[in-house]
Amino acid sequence: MSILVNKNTRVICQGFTGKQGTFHSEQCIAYGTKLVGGVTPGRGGEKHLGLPVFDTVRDAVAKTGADATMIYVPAAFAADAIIEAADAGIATIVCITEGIPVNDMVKVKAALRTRSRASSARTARA
Amino acid sequence: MRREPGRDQPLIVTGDGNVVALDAKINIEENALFRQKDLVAWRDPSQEDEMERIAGEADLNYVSLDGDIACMVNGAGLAMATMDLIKLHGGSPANFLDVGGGATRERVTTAFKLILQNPKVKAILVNIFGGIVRCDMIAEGVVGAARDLGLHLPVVVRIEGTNAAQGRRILQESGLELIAAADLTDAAKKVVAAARK
Repeated sequence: MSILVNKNTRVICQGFTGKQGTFHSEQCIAYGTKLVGGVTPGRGGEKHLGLPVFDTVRDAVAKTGADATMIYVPAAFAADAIIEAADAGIATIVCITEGIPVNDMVKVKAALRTRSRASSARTARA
Repeated sequence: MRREPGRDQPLIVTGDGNVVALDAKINIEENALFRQKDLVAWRDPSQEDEMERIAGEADLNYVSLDGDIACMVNGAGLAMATMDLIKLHGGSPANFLDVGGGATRERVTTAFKLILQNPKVKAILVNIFGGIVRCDMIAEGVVGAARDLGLHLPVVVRIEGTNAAQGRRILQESGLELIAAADLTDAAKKVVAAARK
């Protein structure tokens, strides 16, 4: 399985209101990706790029039916963001963050193994 | 923190029969330093490669190597591929340098100044694939640094992607002696030839 998303995939962005999250969300929308909202803790209820902002991934999934997430969160918080997405039942998780401590990713890998729905967490480097 | 095993040396036995390690080397993961403040306090910059230290302060991924072809590339993967191609065509890279996915004009200038500090460098290869990074911004950084430093080395430039045409125009109109390359292989061949002259 090499193609994980298509034009019907409902995508959210974690770190939505940040600089990188905003830039890439704009690019996604321009390309035609079905971006349905984003997550920035503490900013739930706001609108950003015309889309709803949620405090948690669980909230975002409940309200938007998202099935994929792209994560633009700083290294110190990226591992938690991945696990939060998996816990919320997101099946495809893409995290672009560079410089996540190896120890954190060991925990992420172990956590994802126990969650069958998060079948395809990937990390990519910019 | 990750400890490298078996690197304690020298090991002595004292008069009263105790074994004491007089030196120890530990390797700490840099990505986790933000939560290891007590270990950061022990840092001694005089023990580090001067150029790698300057690069680190500018958020550049830089590693000194032994060759004579300086590389300035965006993206770690492209930087690795660039060094492989230089080797393939008989050259030897002077450094690994990734200016990063979100490079700014200032970072490019710092990067260029850094690679020019290495006295072994005979030629420079700039290889940029602009995705997030805009080629015109990279070109401005290169031209700015070259002017500031009175550049006298051959520079081979391959830029593609976002705003590539504007970037090439900035380089052409700069009046600097820059060698344009059509693709990655062409760039590697030209920079190896330039370094041999």
